[in-house]
Amino acid sequence: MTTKKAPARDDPDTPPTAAEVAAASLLRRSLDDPRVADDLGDFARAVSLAREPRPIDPKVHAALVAKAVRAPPARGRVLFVAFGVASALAVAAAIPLFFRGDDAAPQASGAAATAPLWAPRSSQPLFSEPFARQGGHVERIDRIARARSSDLRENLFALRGAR
Amino acid sequence: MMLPALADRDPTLERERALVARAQAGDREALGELLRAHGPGLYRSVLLPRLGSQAAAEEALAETYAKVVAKIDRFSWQGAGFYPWLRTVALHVALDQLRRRKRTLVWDTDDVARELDEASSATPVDQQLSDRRDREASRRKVDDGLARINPRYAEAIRLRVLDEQPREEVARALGVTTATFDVLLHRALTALRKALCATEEQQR
Repeated sequence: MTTKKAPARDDPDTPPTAAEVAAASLLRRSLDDPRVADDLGDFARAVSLAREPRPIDPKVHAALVAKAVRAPPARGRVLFVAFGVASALAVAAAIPLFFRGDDAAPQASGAAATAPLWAPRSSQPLFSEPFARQGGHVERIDRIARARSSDLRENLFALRGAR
Repeated sequence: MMLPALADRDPTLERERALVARAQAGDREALGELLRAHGPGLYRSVLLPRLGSQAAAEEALAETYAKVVAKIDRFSWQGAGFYPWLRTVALHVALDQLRRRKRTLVWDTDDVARELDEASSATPVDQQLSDRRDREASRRKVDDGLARINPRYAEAIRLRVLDEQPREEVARALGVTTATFDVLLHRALTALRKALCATEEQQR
């Protein structure tokens, strides 16, 4: 009768492989310093927190509550409208590009016909400050929509020879 | 004869009902009071054990609060208090986070999904009772997992991870060198993780 041999990791006394030694060393470093990334280290911390969860820092909690009560109401609707407006303006600003050089388009004056049109481009230059980890997206959408609405206006003026 | 609603007999619940009504009418002070009353327990008993890290639990609590602010007008007072609804919102947030992270922790997505199914009928009105039950369930999960692995592995985890004793002391207590203990602990945690996954498979 043959008995099935237990895998090495199930037997505490089996000599370790080099890979196991390396993994064990990484685990030890992760337990000493949580900044050291290790899946098993994270699991160990999760086990500890599941067994004995610690209370939240009162200052952290106060900040979370303060942020929540400051939040604007009905964010979903505002965000939806802002996205819709920004998308419509971006598409509208791009439409004149299709008529550039089109013979059927109205003839503009010589100077205005050669005036450059605003093309769709990255909105990154509009932001000099780093983005907050959470929130602020409604304000960013508003900023993009304002900037691109002036592009649309100028493109239309250029095509109609107003520049 | 109809029994009076629970809120009508319990002054604490009656006060909470008034706070909720004010919060729904846009009173942010009232909303803040509700969150301050319930948030710490929600974090410690529901979010932290399930998400396994302080950062993840804080993020989840912030997200829970954002959802509460957005949806509080949809909450309907049915005499069971505010906390059961709040706990359900938090469990949804925890479930979404676990699905995004896809890592093996003590609780997995199926665990939390099962809790959500039971939440509407099983969450006690009294938050202290609910929190105690949540913490007991979490403790039981860990203890059941430890009971399923090699006793030496379980001891290594209890001493080093749960009791947070120094590595050298634990190695001495177990009669091994520190290098051997490192390997022992690695095997122990691997075995515990496997045991918890196996428990999940059986519950499906």
